[in-house]
Amino acid sequence: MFGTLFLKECRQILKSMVYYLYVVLFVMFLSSQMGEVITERLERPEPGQESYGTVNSHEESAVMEKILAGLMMETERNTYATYPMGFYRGVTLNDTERNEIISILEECTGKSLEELEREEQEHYEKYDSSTMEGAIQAQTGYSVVPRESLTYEEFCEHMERVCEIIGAGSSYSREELEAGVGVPMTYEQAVEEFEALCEKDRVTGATARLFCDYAGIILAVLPIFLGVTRCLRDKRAQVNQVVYARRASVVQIVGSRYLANVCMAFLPVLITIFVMQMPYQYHAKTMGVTPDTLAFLKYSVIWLLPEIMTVLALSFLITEFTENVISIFVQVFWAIGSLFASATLAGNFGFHLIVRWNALGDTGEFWSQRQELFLNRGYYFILAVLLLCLTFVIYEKKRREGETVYGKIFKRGK
Amino acid sequence: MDTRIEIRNLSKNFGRKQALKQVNLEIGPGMFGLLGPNGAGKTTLMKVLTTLTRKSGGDVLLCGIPVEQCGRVREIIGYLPQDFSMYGNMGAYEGLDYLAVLSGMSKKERAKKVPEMLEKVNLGDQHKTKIRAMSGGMKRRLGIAQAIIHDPKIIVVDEPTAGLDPEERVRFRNLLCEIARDRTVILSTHIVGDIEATCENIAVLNHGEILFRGTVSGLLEGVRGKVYTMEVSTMELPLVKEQFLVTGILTSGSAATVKIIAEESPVKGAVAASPDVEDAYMYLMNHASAGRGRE
Repeated sequence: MFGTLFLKECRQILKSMVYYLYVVLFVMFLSSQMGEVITERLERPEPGQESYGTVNSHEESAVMEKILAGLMMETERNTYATYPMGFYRGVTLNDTERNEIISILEECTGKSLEELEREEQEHYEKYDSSTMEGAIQAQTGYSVVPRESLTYEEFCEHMERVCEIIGAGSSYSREELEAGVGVPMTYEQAVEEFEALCEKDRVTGATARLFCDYAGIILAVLPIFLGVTRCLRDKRAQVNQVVYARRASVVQIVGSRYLANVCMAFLPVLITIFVMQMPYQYHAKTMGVTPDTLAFLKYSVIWLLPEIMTVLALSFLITEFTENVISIFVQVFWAIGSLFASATLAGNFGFHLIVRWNALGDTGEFWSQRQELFLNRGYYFILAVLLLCLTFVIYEKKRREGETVYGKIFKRGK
Repeated sequence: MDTRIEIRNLSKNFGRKQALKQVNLEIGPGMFGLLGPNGAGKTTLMKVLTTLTRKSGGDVLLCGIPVEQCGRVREIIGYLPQDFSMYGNMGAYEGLDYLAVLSGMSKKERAKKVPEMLEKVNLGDQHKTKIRAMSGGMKRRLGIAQAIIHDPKIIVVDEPTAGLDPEERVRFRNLLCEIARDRTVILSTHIVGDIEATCENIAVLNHGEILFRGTVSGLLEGVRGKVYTMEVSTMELPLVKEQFLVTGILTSGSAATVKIIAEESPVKGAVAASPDVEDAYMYLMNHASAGRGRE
């Protein structure tokens, strides 16, 4: 019975306008982010290149240099970028506050503000800041050396004070410091990175990560609409009683609906990866690397499937419970929160619903954080199963109680 | 084959409201009519029988199976709810097939039974007609098809003819009688004509209590010799309505023929008339409300 119900549900989804809207939005979002084939960072580095990109560093000296450089630049402009609720907010300080920041800078570097400004100017004069590339290189290469006697603990204490002055969500919080900083890559590092890209990622692995990074954002929201539509369909068509009175168990009814929605939500991902991986496979071959033809599939199953499962399970649970569209708002709020809660755009997976790796490559760094990603996705897989089981309980209760659980609570509240 | 339903001291409360009060009924094979006004508790009783709501007290056995054993009860019961509907974008065949799957029927069984049922309810040529495009009568016939497709021993039909035109109503009643030949069919309705035309065994429910349990002739017996017709002028009608229980008025110009129920001949010139089920039902309900008033 389960298999037949599953196939019937899939057929019903294929007849739904909401599903085609889902597919169109998914494809449009992916095309807007990964429409062009990016191969420039997939080339072997040559000695003497102007830049080899950046690499994330957790070295205390590097963290102090880059964080102080950021603080110096923001203090000069007297505009500090903060993301208190995930959204940008520029903070301008009054004279007293700014002077305190300046004194922290001077205390950390052992130099006056004038000296620091002069050094900064000298640094920027080395680059052609009229071009985008020059400006990026100038900013990437800029660092402020702390005084020799400054320990990392002292530095952290100073940064805590900076956070207090600027407010929540600044770049000087403990999490930001722990996330590491981007430092220019050397030729040797670039070669090592390239070899890891060829051996471990076999090129397609790196592009699959970037694909999952973008797809993960939109898939934290879009499947909700499929879930809500399915759960409200019975109410809209007034078929609840006819379905409830039949022999099928709750696992067969709700389980088949859920599984059909998960599969149909994942189908466009499968089709998209089939199309998107082709140019990268070709590029890998031109580089003399045998591409990992299953990389996109493996990453999508591990990275995106638990996310789709969780989003759908939550929308099933809330919609069966409330019999309205409130789960859309809950889920959108969660997705936005998760998107902006991440301290960096690559790594620090933690327990975020949306995990980010907005980088093409950084193979070594990713490989070192891989276990954390598995743990995160395993957690969401289990969460999805638990939410689904809870949905079974609520559905069965509705089936036996003769009215919605929500209705009962609502009446009791009155 | 045991197709009996036994209901003992059944009660159902919704908060402080008692929807069913110590209901006792025994229902055997064939058509059984459950009559009562709107809000009498008929739908609640139907929902208890079909496992859609939990009872608050008492015992209910369907073919010997306690109603608490939902899974087993759902296998032997077919239900046509008051407002039957299906997914509008499905065709008649597809919708019926979907519900047959939910009843646990195999592909082979469905391939045989779905067209057979559609034929039986006169929807044989409407396989692909979308449910949203169906008339009320067609939907109701599809509803009966879904209620019997898995060959249940008991069929519960809640207010099936409400909103149907006379032709559809007659056709539907005949269909019900046909399927009741080898199983128990409970017909719940507030339309007396439906009961009169289809059921011999009936129960009358009011305010959650059984007012009458017996045969249609038994119900008629209660009012025999108490039904009269008399000629009055239309001016006198308000006074007649105030004094007697009026079950019918036929006006012709300034005169009217009224059918009334009274314990003895009301006025000189009143003619005794043979009662119908509607008169008996009205008499019963009137007595019950008078009794409640006294309480």
